[in-house]
Order: sequence, then C-alpha cells, then structure tokens
Amino acid sequence: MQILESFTLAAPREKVWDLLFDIPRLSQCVPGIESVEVLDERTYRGKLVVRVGPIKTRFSGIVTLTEVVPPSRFASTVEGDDKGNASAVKIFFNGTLTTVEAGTEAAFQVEVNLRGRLAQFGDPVIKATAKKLTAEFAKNLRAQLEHSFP
Amino acid sequence: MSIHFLEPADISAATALLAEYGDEAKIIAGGTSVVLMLRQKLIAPSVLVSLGSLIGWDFIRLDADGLHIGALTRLGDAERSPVLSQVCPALAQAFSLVGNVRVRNQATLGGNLSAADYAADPPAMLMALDARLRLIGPDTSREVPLFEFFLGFYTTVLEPTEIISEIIIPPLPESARAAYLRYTSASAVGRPCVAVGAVADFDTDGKCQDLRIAVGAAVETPQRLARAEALASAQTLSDELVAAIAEEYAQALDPLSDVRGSAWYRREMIRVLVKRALMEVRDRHR
Repeated sequence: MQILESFTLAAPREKVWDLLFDIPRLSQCVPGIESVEVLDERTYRGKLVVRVGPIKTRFSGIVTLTEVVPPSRFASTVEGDDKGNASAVKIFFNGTLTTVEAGTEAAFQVEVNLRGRLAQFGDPVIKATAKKLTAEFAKNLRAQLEHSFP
Repeated sequence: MSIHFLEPADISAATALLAEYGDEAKIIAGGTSVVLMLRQKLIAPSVLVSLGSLIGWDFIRLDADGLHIGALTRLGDAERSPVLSQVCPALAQAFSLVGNVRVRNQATLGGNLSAADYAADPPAMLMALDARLRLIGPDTSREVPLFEFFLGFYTTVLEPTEIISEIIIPPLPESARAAYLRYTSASAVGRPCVAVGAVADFDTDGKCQDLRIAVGAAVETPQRLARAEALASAQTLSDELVAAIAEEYAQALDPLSDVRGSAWYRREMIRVLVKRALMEVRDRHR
C-alpha cells in the first residue's frame, strides 16, 4: 500500500534537514516513539507505539538509511514487528525536502507492507492512521523549529 | 497473563473501576467484539470491567421525549421488541441484519456503537433518526448527538472512563416514514458494503417536509449531507429529484476501498441505494 503525505514548514531547508537528522530532537517529534538507539551512522533501532481506537500496538524495529542526499532527499527501509499480536511491517520510505515560498515542503512517499493480525484492519484504517500521525509529526516539527529559531 | 474479570453492580461502580485502572482496563458488555480482539491478542488488558451484572440498562421505552433504548439492550431483543416494531420498524430492520442470530442474542447496542466499526448496520439508521447518546462518567452525565459521536475508525468521543447508558430517538410525526437499506457485496449475511438510513416526513399534499439520509459503512464515519437533504424541502419527491439527491450523495462523499468494494464501486452503490431508500420512503404507506 502506498501512502503519500506532505506538509510545509516555515524554515529553510537546511534547518529542516538538520532537525530530521538530529536523532534526539527528531525522536521528540515522532508521535508514539518510545526509544531510539543509534547502531551506526546509517542504522537505528527503535520502539514505536501506535494506537487505533482500542488497539495499541508496539513495534520494535530497525531503520536503515539507504540513500542520503543532503539537504534534499533521503530514503530508508524500516523492518519491525509486534510479537504480541503476531504482526510485522516492512516500510520503504522516500522523503524529499523542497524549498518553497513559505519555507520548506516535506513530502513523503511510503510503501507499507503490513502482515499478520493487524493487517485485517485493511488499507483505509492504515491510511487514516498514517494521515493522523503525519499531521501530529508536522505539528511537533513546527514546534521544534520555532523553539530553536524564535 | 491473567485477566481480572470485575463485575460492578451499578454504572457508577463501573466508571469508578475504569478511572482506577485507566489504560489497563477494557469494558466488556456482550463481548462479541472484545472477545475476538482478546483471542487475537490485539488487546491485552489486565482488567475486564464487565457490564453483565448491571441491572436496569436493557430497556426499550417510549416516553414523551422519544424512544429510549438502554445501552445494554441486546440487538436481538431490540429486533424483536413490539415497541420498536411499532414505533420504528426500519430501526428493528437495521438491528435484525447485524451479524447472525447468535451474535445478535449476545451483542448490545451500546457495545455496537462504542466499537465504532465503520462496517456496521445500526449507526446509519440511528443517525437518520437524529439519535442522541447519554454518556455516563465517574462524576459526569452528558448527551451527545450521534453525528458528533464517531471521530474516525474505531474512535469515538467517549472518554476512557465513560460508558454509553442509553440511546434516545426523538419522536417522529405520525406521517413520517423511515427505511433502512444496505448492500452486501460478499454474502447476504456479511457486513454492509454500503448502508443507508432514510427518514422523510410529508405534508397532506405529499410535499416533503423533512428529509434525513445517512450513509454508513462506505465511509469512515456515517455521513449526512444537509445540502442534498435540503433539495427535497417542500418538494414532491419526483423521480428526477430522487435521482438528483442520490447523485449529490454519490459525488460528495469520499468512499473508502476495502475487501467489500473499491471506492469507485461504493460510489456507484451509494447512488443506487440512496435512490432506492428515497423511493421506499416516498412510495411505502405506513
């Protein structure tokens, strides 16, 4: 399933890029993140909690950066699972930062492959959840950017 | 892991337990939804607050301010209720289509609404009927119109400590007619692909005085379109007008794609079903 999301941040592209690669600050912006551990400069291990109605799922996984072109483009893969509900996810993530009049447009193209029991909820639920999390992520990024560049 | 099964004796004890255990607790009423999620380990609460011992919340009563249905009323009991069959057969019809007879004899109306599953029958009909819900919390009691209740997939305005206590349906004039139609794409007893609840009232000249149409199951939360409903105001429901209203619903709603049908398919079926529902309320005599 493909998810396309984008949002605009009122900050220069370089500043946005720096924030996206400043892991401690970035992890404060990702909704539901529980921990991030840097394994090497291209690999991270993390735990993320996602809630959909009554269901709370805790994914543990590895993020691998596959392409990094500062300050405009990066790609990564994410592989994770939640053993509690026997579900696994593989994500191919492509992100671009483009300079626009209002600052920087961040656009994401994400291919999500969800397997296991959670997959029964189907694409519409996953897409709606992705949209909600993206909006929250954008809000948190804006707060971080304002905080550092008043 | 063991689960503590608590059976409070009244609704205030139940909300107190929810406040005490917070995130660790889940409510269970009929259990048709909660037990499935437990078995699949989609939820792992340490406490289940059962509403099974609560007495007095499984009524169907006609009062001056409308029809009151206790949240713990089983869908099967509601479906067979003489009061409901007389006051609003279309709602009894919507209840009679949920799951199968074993599910309906177990599932409660409050549970059905709290689960906020988009592919459900009762919400569209209840929304067309302008239903309201009474929500009880530890120290609170509030009424919420059903159209404000659903926030998204499996998500409602219910606070973690709140429980639906009753569903209230305002009285309909004698001259009003209601219909519930649904379309299932997989099998006759499956969950709906599109659900349409319609209520219309006509004056003595046959002109439409009030029209309410809610579409569910094809969209994230049931939807009414004030603009499309207004087209019928003080009009005779001609075939052309019926088609125009159905077209509005088909064009304005943003249907979802899932195993029961693609967005394109659902849009076509919304057009067909809204039209049929309108014709039914127009042509059927009470």
